[in-house]
Amino acid sequence: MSFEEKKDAELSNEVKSMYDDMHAPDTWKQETLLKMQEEALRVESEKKVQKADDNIKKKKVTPVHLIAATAGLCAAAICLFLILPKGASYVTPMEDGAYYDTVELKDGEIHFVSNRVAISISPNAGNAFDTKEEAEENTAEVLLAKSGGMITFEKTGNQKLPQIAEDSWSYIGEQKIYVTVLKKDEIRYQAVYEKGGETYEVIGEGVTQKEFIDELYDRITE
Amino acid sequence: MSLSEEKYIIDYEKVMETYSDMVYRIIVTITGNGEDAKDAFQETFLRLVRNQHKIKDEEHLKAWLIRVSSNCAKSIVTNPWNKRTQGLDGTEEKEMFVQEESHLLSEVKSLSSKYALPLYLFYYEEYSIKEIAVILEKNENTIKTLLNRGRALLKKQLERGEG
Repeated sequence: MSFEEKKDAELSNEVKSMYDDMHAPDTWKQETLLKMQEEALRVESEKKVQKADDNIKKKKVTPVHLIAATAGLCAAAICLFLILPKGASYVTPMEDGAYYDTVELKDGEIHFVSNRVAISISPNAGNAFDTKEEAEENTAEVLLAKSGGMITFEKTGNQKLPQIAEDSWSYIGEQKIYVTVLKKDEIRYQAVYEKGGETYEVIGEGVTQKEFIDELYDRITE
Repeated sequence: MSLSEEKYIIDYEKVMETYSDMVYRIIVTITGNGEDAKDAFQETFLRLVRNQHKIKDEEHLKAWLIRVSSNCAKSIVTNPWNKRTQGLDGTEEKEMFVQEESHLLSEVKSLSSKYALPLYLFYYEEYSIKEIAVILEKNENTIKTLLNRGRALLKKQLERGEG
């Protein structure tokens, strides 16, 4: 063993013997153990609250992946043009300046291959469908979306749907639906459809496009 | 679920029994003062409670405790609020250690924590340089340098003390 190695071994022994004598005080250990148990209860309780919140949201709105922001959403006059035939995957047609991606209808559910939904510019889009004059009271249902926004379903009693030009319609399966984006900065979606002889209006505020379409799809196909 | 994927369950009492001394030694080596050491000690174990789902196994637990205790101690030492020494009533706030310090311990504590911690991990915990580098998230060469400088400083201080 060289002189340096010997010195190092001595140092090692001294360091070991020094630390051997150092022990955490028992009072610290007991206090800390108590605090750990309290903290564990707090963490567990927080988890339960979080889980309950998640379950409420999950029940109300189908969980979705966030869609990527699309340039198309920035335009005020945008209309969602969604056609979902049953069967194989379907690539929606594109119009100038718009955006598309593959959308599948599989086992009765929408599958956004890239977490996006097809949109195209419609000359008639951006026009709110007026339902307020004949809206029925106490029929609205508000759902909280995972993104923090909300979707309101309301039976309108309005029978104006047939007045809309054919090229403004979107479809979910066989269901005709009028969908539009009402505001540019604070995105607000509106959809109006008839089902079982009733007309319904759906408003999505602060929600993602996919959340809105997913919820709409669930309602129309349920 | 296979055995290897089973969740690692942490028994707080066992953890305290097994690792409290190690955590204490690391923290005292860095803080060198009782009150700060106690805060860092408790914070380390409370963080463990909050992050226990991240711990994979016993080895990971030990390395995690080393890293977190040293971070807790360093953050307390570098927090300007903790530089005060007087309590509101004007009395000395720092708790005195019950245990008597050896000459060597005071020498180790007088070293910068950047040297003292690798020395402790290398000589006492017997981790290799590579392992220390992983635990402290530093380059192996950095650890080698810190160990060499730490050894040299400690030897010099000890020789001075003897002389």
